Amino acid sequence: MIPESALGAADEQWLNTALERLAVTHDPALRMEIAAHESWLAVRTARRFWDRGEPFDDLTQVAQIGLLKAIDRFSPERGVPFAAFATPTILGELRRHFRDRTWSVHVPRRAKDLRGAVNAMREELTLTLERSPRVDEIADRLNVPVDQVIESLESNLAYRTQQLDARGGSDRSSSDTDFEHVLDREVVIGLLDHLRPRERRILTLRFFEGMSQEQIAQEIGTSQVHVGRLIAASLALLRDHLSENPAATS
Amino acid sequence: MSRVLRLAASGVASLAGFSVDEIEDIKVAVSEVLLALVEHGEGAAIDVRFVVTESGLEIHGRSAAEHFDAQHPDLAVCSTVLASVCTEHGLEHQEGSAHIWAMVAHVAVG
Repeated sequence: MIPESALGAADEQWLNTALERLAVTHDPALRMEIAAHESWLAVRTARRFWDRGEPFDDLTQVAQIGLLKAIDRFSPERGVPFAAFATPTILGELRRHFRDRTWSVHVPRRAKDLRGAVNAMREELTLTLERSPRVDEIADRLNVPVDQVIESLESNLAYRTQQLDARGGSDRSSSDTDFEHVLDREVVIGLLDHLRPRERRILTLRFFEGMSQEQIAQEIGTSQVHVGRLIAASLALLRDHLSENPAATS
Repeated sequence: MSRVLRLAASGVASLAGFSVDEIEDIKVAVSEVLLALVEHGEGAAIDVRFVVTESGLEIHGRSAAEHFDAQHPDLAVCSTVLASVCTEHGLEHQEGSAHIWAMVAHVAVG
């Protein structure tokens, strides 16, 4: 059989006691102590994704965030071993990282082009069908072959980091280009949280998915002119935020 | 190789009518089985098979490694990961062979 625990008995005893104490005291220092004690779980889970093109340090950080969330949500009284509870949370955090926060793709161009549409359709169908859709349902709605949807779904897990200014696109305005040269990816990620969901999505599609304004217009069902205006307004808002909070770029 | 196997598993599962969420779980399980066999199988050849059953998709990974380190702590993590995405999983090993299997359940819809 596969061994059930990677911890020694003494470590498990310490962990269980610490988690019970944390549930009562909510002590931040104890929370961090537990996170340090269990960081091996985050590192080893992150290793599952080492071959997907993302720097391992990034993956480890994402996994550590998942670990902290697991620590916060864990209820000792349920009697579930912490590792069994934390692993799905850490995996979920890593999957979200690949789905939402990485964009430079080592996959066929068509899969890259299709990825945004497939993810959007997946979300839409999940809502309308009230279940996870099948691949053929997504393919039917997008009017593309099933194989391309499969490739595209795989591309969610096949990225590497890349500078923003390496992006292509024939319709980029000077404001787009300035923005790309001034900010790096991590800064932009932080700033996007200041936007409303729709604007955030448009900027993500524009700068991280490499879509043209016209493609974005088709994707969200509006005109290219309107997309251009929304991008300009969003960039102005982000610049304002940057000028008020210059530390955000350091 | 992991990517090729994930794509193959996705294709099989898609044809069998699995949902995209179920396929995501299958891909994690495939990677996990492969990782365990590669890391602890001394570089021996690996045979991976997918079996579609009425209740789900089974992944069977076999290694002909002379010595498979079945007590390695990393396999506990492997087990935890598989437990989080699979309905059932297990490892059987003896001199000269190791077999890791995992089953992702499928919920049939309309």
